[in-house]
Amino acid sequence: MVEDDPQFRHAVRRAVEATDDIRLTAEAGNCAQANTLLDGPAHDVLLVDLGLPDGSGISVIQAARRRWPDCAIMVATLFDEAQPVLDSVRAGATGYLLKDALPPQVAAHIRMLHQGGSPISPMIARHLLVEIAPETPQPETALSAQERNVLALISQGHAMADIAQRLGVSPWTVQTYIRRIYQKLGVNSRAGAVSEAWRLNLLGRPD
Amino acid sequence: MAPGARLLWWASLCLLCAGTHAANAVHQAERLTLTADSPHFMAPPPRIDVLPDTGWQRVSLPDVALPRDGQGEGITTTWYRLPVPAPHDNPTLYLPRWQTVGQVAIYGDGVLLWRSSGDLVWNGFNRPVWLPLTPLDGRAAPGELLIRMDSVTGLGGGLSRVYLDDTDALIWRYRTRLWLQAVLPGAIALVFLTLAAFGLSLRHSREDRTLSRLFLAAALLFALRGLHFSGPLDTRLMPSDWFGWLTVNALLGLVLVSLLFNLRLCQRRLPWLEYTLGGSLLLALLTSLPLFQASEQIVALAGATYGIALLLSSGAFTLVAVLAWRSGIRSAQVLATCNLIGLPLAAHDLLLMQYQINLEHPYLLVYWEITFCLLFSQILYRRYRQGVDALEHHRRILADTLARREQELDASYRKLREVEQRELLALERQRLMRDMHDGLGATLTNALHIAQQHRGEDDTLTRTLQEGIDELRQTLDSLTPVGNDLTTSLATLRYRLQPRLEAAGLTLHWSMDALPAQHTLTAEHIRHVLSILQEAITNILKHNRADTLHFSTRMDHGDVLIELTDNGTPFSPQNLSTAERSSTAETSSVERHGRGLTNILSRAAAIQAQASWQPDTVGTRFTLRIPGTHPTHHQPIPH
Repeated sequence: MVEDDPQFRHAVRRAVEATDDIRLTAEAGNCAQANTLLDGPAHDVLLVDLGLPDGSGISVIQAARRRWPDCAIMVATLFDEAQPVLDSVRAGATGYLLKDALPPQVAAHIRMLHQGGSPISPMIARHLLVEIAPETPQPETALSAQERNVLALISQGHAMADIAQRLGVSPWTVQTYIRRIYQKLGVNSRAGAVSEAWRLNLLGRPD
Repeated sequence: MAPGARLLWWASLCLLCAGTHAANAVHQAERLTLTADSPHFMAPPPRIDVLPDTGWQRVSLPDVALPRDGQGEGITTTWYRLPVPAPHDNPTLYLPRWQTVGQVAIYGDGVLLWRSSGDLVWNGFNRPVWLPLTPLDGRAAPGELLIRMDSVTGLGGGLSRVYLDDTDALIWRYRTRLWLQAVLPGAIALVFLTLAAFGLSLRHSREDRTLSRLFLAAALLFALRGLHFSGPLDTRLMPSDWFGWLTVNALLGLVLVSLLFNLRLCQRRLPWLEYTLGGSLLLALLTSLPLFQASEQIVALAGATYGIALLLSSGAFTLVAVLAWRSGIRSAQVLATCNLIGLPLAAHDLLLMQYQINLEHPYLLVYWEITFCLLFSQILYRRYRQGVDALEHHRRILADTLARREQELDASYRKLREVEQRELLALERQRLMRDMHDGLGATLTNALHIAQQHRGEDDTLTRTLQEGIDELRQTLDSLTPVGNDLTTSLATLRYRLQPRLEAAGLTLHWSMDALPAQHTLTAEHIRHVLSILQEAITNILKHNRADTLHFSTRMDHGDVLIELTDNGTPFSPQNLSTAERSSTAETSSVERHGRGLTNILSRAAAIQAQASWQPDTVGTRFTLRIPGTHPTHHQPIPH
């Protein structure tokens, strides 16, 4: 966990301690400590706060995505505002946790993320529907019809189980769709960054 | 012929006719014809003492004493004798025309009163003679007049009627004829040249430039030709033979230019005709060159030249008239008609020159040129109008374009300002959100965590803090552009409430389809709707003791209907007042409930929505009806 707020750290610690299957292995209070942490062995789930005293949590997420590619990264946010969450997803996060979540929810979210699922709010689903246009230049990163259906239903407030029932798939498949959508957003974002870098002639320079 | 020219022409003719039939004209005279001893012209003597008594014959005036037949040689002198009819206060002689190649002198009682001056050939045959008969020395006016005319034999000579009357009675006739025969041709020439210069100075198309040049040529030729009317020629200024050569051939040139002009107007070219006429002109120019011909011979040749020119131009003008008619071009048709009308006028002048018709007739062809001038002015005027119209049109287009650009600029500027304001607003909104997020949000969350750590039996503090955080979330959502749609906002409400509903043991059944996009509500409206629903759900959780909640939305006659149906204790606002009276134990709870209902109703009223509760045997259905059209400003909520 990379978090500077002692109250939230305490809340998470309590929530985790109340479970049998989740263990808090390391804690960092700022970016520097987080980077030191990332030098060590990879962990299963990383919970990162965005507003760290010595920098943005986005950089920690990016570093973690590079160094611990298999780690499920989750951003801790006070409110599920779309922009910070989407920025985190673009950086490599695959989920987020509200800081006022009840202890059982904290554990459930960590568990879901570790198992490959991704929490998503209707507001973020709506953003993604707008953000990832169907006519993206890379067909492999364009949203499929089924993925768009999932996003549309989420933006209408339907629960995962309802969506699964409506689409005739398992709830787990719906989760997979969401994870894939997040990944596509990340890929789109990285492709955009690369093309932007090319445009600015930052890549391919001798020095 | 143009209406103005026609009017002028008829007015002049009427004046001349009036003069012709005047009672004070001398219609009869005695004539004596003598052959001069000398082959050269001699100056008329100041006195005539003796004239032969025999050989006089009575003639009617106008009289042609010598035919223009080219026969004979030497000088012939013709005498006309006529009495001055009656004594007048100011007896005056007015002679409309004398015409010959030679000279004229007038004697009163044998004393020379007047004689012609200048060149003998170009001697002022178009200038009427005006001679007051009362001598300045107080003597009586003469009783008999003698008019002497010395002529080149074979080139003709004749005299119009002689008017002998009071000055006042004759002056208008003299002035009219003088104006018509000496002033008007010069004025026409001047107008002609001015128009030509103006036409040439305008910016033209290639076609119009050719027309302007041809018109200038016509104006110059007409000015040359017009010199015949300004006579007599002063040979000190110009030799007689060159004057004759220029003025005679100028008419031929004028015919050619008029023809070319007409062809251009028809937008046709007839090279064979143009070259034939051009060649004829050149031939005439060469054969009549003063190097080869004397002045008298040029005059003698002029008749033949005019005759041939008339024949040629008759054919050519007729042909061009046919072409003009076929072309359908109005200006070409008008000029062709004028040219055809000019043919009989030319014939008239030729006959007059040959002494075949009344010598008092004016030479008419010169006036015909007015029509050419008017036609060209009309062409110029049309071109000018077209130019002005085109300018006006372009000016209008420019003005329209400018106005459009100004509008576009204005719109862009407005849009820019809107964008700037929106950006400012967005920045301010972000700042507020950040402040709320980092300040109030963080504080509330921390407080919640602390409250959760020290939670005892009563979790009121935790719940209140949670509600506060939810309120803050809704406020932040309303500040987000994407949050301003009802479907997403309701979905978000469900997403946030779901864990707490589950924790409270309430199962939520969600039945919602996307609401129509046109059903737009402002962020403030949505915030009210969410607060109403949140309050209603809180009431269900607190008071209704339900374990199932159905949430559904649908459209009904353009309104949005949101229904919350639970399976708890049936509830209606009327029951609340009963409960309020009956139970003191539940007073605080009921008060809170009552306050919640008041909040719901006042918020609903603020957005002109209707909130209602329908108790059933089991449970209650809460309905919120939001009208399809919404006022821009909602009503303030009473506090």
